[in-house]
Amino acid sequence: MNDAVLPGSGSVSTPDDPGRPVLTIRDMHISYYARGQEIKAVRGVNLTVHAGETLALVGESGSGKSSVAFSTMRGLDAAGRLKQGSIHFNDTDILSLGPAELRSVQGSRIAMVYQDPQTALNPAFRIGGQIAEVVSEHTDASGAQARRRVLDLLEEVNLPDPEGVYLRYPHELSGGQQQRVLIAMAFACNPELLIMDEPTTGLDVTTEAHILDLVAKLKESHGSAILYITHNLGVVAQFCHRVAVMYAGEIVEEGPVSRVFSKPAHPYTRSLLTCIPRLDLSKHDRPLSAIKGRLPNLADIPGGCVFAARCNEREDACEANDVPPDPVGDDPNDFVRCLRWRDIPEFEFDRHKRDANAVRATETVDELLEIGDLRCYYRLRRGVMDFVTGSAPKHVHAVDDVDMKLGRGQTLAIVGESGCGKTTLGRTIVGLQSATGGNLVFEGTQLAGMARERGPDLRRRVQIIFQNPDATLNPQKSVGETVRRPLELFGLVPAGEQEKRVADLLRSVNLPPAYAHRFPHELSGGEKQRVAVARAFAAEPELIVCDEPLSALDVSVQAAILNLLVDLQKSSNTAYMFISHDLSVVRYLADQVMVMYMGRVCELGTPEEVFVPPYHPYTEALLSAISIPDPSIEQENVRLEGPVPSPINPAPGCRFASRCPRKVGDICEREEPPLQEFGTNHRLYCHIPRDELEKMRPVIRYAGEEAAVV
Amino acid sequence: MSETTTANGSANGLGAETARIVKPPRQVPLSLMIGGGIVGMFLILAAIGPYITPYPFDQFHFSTRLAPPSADFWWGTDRYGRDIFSRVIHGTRLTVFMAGTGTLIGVSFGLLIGLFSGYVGGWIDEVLMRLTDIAMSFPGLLLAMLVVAALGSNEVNAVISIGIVFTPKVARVVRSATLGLRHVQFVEAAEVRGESNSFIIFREILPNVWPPIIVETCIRLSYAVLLVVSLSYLGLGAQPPAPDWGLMIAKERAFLVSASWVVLAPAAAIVSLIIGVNLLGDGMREWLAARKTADE
Amino acid sequence: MLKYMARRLGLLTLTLIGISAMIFVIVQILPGDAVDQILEAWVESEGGAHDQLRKKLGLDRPLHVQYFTWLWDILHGDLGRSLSMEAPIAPILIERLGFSLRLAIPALVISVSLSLVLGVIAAIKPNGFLDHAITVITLTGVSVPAFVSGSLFILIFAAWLQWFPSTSSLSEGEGFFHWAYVLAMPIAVLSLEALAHLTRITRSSMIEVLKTPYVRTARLKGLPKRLVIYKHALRNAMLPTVTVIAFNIGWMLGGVVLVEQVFSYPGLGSLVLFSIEQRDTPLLQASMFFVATGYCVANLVADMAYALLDPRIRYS
Repeated sequence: MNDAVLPGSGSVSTPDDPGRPVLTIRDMHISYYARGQEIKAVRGVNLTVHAGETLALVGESGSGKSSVAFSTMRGLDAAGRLKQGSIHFNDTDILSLGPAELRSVQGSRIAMVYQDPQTALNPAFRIGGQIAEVVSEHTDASGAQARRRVLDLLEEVNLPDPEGVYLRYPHELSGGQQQRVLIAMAFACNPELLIMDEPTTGLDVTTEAHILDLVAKLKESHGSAILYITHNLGVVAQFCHRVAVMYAGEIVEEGPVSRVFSKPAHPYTRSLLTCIPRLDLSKHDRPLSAIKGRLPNLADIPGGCVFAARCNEREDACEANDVPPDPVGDDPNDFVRCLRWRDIPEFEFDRHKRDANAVRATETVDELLEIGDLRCYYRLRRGVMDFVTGSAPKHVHAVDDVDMKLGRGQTLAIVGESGCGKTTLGRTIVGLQSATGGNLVFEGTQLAGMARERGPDLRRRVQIIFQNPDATLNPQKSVGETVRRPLELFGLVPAGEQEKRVADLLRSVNLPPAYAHRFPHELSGGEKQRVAVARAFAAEPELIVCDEPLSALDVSVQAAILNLLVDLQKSSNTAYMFISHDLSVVRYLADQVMVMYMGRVCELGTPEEVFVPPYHPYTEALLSAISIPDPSIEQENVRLEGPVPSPINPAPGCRFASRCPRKVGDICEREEPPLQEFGTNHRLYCHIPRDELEKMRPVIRYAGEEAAVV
Repeated sequence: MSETTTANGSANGLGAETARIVKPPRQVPLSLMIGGGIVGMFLILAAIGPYITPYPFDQFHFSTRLAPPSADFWWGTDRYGRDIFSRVIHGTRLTVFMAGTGTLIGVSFGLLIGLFSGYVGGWIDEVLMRLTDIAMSFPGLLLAMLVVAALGSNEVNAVISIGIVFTPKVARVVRSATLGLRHVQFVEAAEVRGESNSFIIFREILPNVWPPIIVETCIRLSYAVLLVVSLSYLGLGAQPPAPDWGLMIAKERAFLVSASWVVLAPAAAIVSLIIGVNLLGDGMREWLAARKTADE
Repeated sequence: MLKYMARRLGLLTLTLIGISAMIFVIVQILPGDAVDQILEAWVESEGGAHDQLRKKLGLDRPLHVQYFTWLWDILHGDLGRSLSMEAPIAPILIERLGFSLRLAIPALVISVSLSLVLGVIAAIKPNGFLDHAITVITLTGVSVPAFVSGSLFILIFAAWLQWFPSTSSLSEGEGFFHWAYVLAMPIAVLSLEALAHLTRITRSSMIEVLKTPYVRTARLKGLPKRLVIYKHALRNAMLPTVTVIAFNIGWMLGGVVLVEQVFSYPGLGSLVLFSIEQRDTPLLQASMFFVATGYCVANLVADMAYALLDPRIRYS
């Protein structure tokens, strides 16, 4: 217990002696002013980042973590104000610096990497110039020297063809490449402190893994301290020395990663660690532990512990008194702000160890949906020149020859990175776009292309839940109208009883019936998603396509929605087609998992089959790239190299061949990968010989064990 | 209402989830209030103006031609001795009515075309948009002049010409707002349910394009006033002896230097009406933007 | 970029054909035809005169034939003959265009350059004193019709102060200074409104751009404020301004009608008005087509400028 195995790839080691403080924040208070109201976003934050260390600042949306980051560089936007507190960078008082002195620190000694690289780069200027201007501003380098330096930096962040990238515009690079450019920019003047604000949010997992590797390498060679802002505890476990957990504007717990992840003291930290499904948990085991309620109103903070209202361990004393930091170890930087942490039982991950070979017998279920050789191509618009030269029309192969079956009441999860065709597949099934070819059979009936061409009964039986809770509801319609519409349209309930049915539906998604009178802007993200679930179930469907319904939600809310989906499926026997990029969520929810890459199926089977060797090499890479907030888990390090190939008129052979770390040979690029079947229904499309596949090592294991975590 | 909700919520054991975010009252921008006030005043004048003026707008007083402002004639008289104050007040109704109707025509047609073109898309959209391109290739005033020239110079044709000038512009604005909503999830959800085109256009999309339409209507209204008075100034709108502001300036231009009130009075009316409409538009835009951010 | 230009040029051609058709159709609605106009003077014309003249002018042919003949002639640079002036139209148009451009070009240069400065000043501190002052001025600017501001200018600068002449006749002198003296007031009136529009656009787009993450990136790189504003922000903020400049060229073409009328100036605008008053259909058709073409070309140029400023379009 004392020497808990260090996180993830084990690349992080605690600096032996805590270095001198590089950044010291004392009693920071930040407020935003909107419509005569003061939103107290950050209150009384103390933070110290030591030389050479990586400190994670973790929190969900609304926790104030980004405000802390930006105010450190005096970069709050106009609506926000640093009301109180001190910020020292080494011995410099950042708040007392004049404009010129401040500029000499910004970008050179303290640098920042931003969340959304696409908007953080100026669209009108070339990449090279945007980095070079940092060099010329902060050093005496001549134009040619600055250019040389930029090319070196671009090389250092592993961008292919630095000379070419130098001359390119931001929109010509992929998201991952843009983030590399921002990282190069941040390291341009060897900063002593680097602030990273959710640098990998919005990137695919395999890209994220690359970026984290890169930052770890650069940090080593440049010796910068890092303040790493994130909501992803998995990344923290892998990448950081210490962690501070923020909730609603306050730091509730801080300590070394090894301590916080093995013995989290604050109930909020504990909930964060347990509310995310891990790879060893399935819906058949137990419900997820969600955090009830929602963030307090930051304009009107109740006294006492900020988390009290949502805490399962709450006592009256929690709301009465302010909670001072209580040291957990000897280090003053290792503390928790909770009155009850000594009284509540010691934290333990409940680990499920199961014999992966004893796969649950596949239940026989009625077939609901069968897809055969489904193809969805987009034809690219032909320019005038194409007609002149007579070149062949170009097609984007979004979905290519997909075969699958889905049983009644079952959940099929489709995983893959952006652009793999999973969303197109979902949209085709609900009739938002029509297929180019192949079969789509629903309960023995061929489904027409567009929803409107299908009969009303077929439309009713297939529903969809979308990704973005803010766009999923019509802002001009009340919750009641939204949920009532399917009842009315499909004539499910007589007019007189609709109101009662709406109330029942709202109750079934754990919303009070009085919500029927509210409008979407009065709801939180999680509540909007609940309404969307209610709307889908109002039609009494047999299949719901869930298109990344959780990806825009905070982890604590995700858990609640996942539990809800499981419960509703049990009671209604509705089948789900669950589209996601999150393998842990998929593991928890799915009965069948389908891994897709560039429109093709790579692997299909139960989670116990897919997440355990033999793997498709792409599945292996995906599993290796996910970050799990459990320090006792070990992961193989598989990284994908090379660019994602173009989906326009793709070359023959295996789509994954160009990036496959286990490529067999030319055959991969020449021939379609053959189907290899393992067990009853585990399908895998790959050229790797069967015996070699069977010899693969599990990617995710408990430390010291050989079996896969599943 | 919020209290009842919270009570219900607690009864269901869902207290925390129903904790409602308290929103402060929305502030109405100053420009909206001033602009609304000015426009409101002109609307009242348009309604009751003819009943409160000291003289009929076309009554000649030959003994007091081009008289400076006095107790009898508050804003002076013109070359026929007509009371300018009475004429300006009478003219309010004409200008407001012409500008308002022209805007209404343009916005209504533009709205329908824009919604339809934006939602249905395809070749229909392509054709409609090429047509608007053509109509928009004329500077607004020149197109209006051309239309009036073809139909004849009078008030009705001036109104029609304004409608024709505005329709393509409004259609463009509405179309782009519609396109922005075309693939938003709540619209796609309606498509999955199999709702009809008209349900999606009028029940799902239209309620959400009101804000840009309102702002665009205010902008159009200010241009409409500008067009009305410009056309009549050029002799292509209302004809004498109508007390049209633009026409008054055109006809009395010769006395600008010797009796400046003949021009200054209608000019002041024109400028204050347009400023009012512009303030209203600016304020409306600000207010709707603030509402939108508040909702998020 | 070449592809983009080719596409735009193709579209322009189509639009111009559409414009010509639209003008032709609208002008056909005009009550009475050219023959009535010409023969109006001969009060007691003989019965056959109408038909003869119609035949001579080709008005007896079917409408579509007339249209295509007209279009064909335009393509060959033949704009027809004015009925009221009894002269070929092309030279008249060219001369009048020259006069109008002497107003429009200086007005455009003044309004564009000043508006960028004013817009940026206003946007740097939104709701500051300068911003409020500029907002009040521009609001007034967009609210005063050109014929009203023109009349006021005449009253103040010509009648009371006697700095400038109240009519802008070019015939009485030569040289730059004479022109500047004569044209100062109409140019000022024309600039004022365009300036107000452009400043409002520049201000609001600058305020938007200053809120963007990439401007924040530039600031947090430690760049001096002037670089952040004039390089990183203004470059992007100018995009909507460019579009509005094109729009303003069109507006100026309308505005010149009013300004020319106020200052009794013989430009293109007063020619259009003249042709309407005289019911000179060939002249009206030709001058309208001329103006619309000019506007389209201005829009095309603006699109090209936009593409040059925005690499996302340039390289697509």
